[in-house]
Amino acid sequence: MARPAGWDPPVIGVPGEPAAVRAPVTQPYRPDTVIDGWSSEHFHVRCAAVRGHAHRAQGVPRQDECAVVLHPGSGAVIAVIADGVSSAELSHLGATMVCRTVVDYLLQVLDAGKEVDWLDLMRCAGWSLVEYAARQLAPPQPDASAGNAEPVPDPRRAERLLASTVVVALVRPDGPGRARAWLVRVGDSTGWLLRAGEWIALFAPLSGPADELVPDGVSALPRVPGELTPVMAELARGDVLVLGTDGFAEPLGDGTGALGELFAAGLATPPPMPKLAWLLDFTAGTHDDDRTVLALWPGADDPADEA
Amino acid sequence: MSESSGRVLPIYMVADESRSMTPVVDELNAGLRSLHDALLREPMAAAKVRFSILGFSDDVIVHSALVDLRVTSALPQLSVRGGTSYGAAFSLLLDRIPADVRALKREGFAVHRPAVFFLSDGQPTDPGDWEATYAKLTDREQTPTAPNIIACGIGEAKAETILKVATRPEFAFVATPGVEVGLAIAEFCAALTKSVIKSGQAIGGGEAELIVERPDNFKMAMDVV
Repeated sequence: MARPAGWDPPVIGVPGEPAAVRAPVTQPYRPDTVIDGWSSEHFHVRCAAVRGHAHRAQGVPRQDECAVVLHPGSGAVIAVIADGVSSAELSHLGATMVCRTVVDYLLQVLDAGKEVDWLDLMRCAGWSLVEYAARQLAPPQPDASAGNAEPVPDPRRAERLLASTVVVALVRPDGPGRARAWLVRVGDSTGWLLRAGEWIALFAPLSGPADELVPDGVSALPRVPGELTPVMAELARGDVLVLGTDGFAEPLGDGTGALGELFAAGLATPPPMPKLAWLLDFTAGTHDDDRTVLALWPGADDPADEA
Repeated sequence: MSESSGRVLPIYMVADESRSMTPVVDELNAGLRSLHDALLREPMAAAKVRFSILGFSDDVIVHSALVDLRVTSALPQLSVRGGTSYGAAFSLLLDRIPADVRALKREGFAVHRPAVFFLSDGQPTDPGDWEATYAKLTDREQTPTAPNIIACGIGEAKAETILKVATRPEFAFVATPGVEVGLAIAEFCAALTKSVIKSGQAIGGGEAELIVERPDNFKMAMDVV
């Protein structure tokens, strides 16, 4: 059956190789695409994580994940995206674990009215993978009597099974139509300030244009850098804070091409939720990785701005 | 160019064409044909690979420059001639790899570290000469596009030599004595095919350190459901 032309994926440059969409072989159940969005007193948010064309063709589950949560007391938003590393066998579970740990940690810090210790946040997110691997994915015990023993944490095994990149943004309202965002990351997922159609990168590039080759590997949790300083961004009405995994960031480049234009237009105002997922279904040459975009608009406190 | 055309992995198959390869060159050609067939069945994987075939003896013949195997009707045939000059092979790679990477980047591709699959059935006939060229080729300071070299020894090739050629010990393969050389070549080609199709995102430490102790504030989130 032919699909209605209106739902064909956006084509950026040369379309990718056509490929089958196979059932992912995994437990527990993991949908191809997740879509979320809501509005609060101060913000509108949208996010979608979409399985890439390569994972669809291979029957591999979506390894990207996202979470966006409101802290009711402060009106702050916790936004997280994670990209499970391909070579880690169960990294889709790792990505989900990381998102949940970050959300739980930051909700507790906000409840307590404390300052965020960003390095500790990342260490806890990394450790969640180590404990998850030890408790839930423990190798069979050769000795049955060892069944009740506390599982031994094995960070290397956790890395092999569950490694995941992460970007965290904590966004606090800062007066009508304004907000401040603090962002940290481990790995190659990233963030932008989309201002008047221009994509302003919030993190320094991992490889410069002069670098001959792409980096040999991606750093990812449960590895944590020795130091971590959050990036701060001030958002005004009309600005959009955007987080994206490399499946979006790589084809986007510096944002001045067709994909940058497509998403700048698509995110100018909060789109209908399924529209973001449809935009992310784009086909672009060999760019066939999972892709996730999480977008936040300040200004929901202005009644005229209600989307 | 503001958008990247995607990532590609340049792969160089460097095969020994010395006369001692005569009994097995047909197996090697058959292995390359099945690699090509496998890639044509996996066009998404093939799209991310550029493949070159070099045959070395006393000199090197570029049987195929770096190409997209999706648009190649048939792979060239390897043949046999002369001795086993490792130096000639590494010298040509040192010449071609940086130029090939520059050309791919001009086309807008982000380029993975190139991979060389090196297959030999004998000891080098230029001992003492090839090592300096090899050192320059694989030194990432001198040659930023230095490749990973996966080395496979069959027949008379010695394990210690193959270990010197592979850029990591786990990249060195030597056929078990007694195993038919044709079978070893078939296995090598199967491993090559698998590597080509499975090349993807890998874990790399970078500046980050593996966390080894439970942080004081750690609380387990609800288990993943």
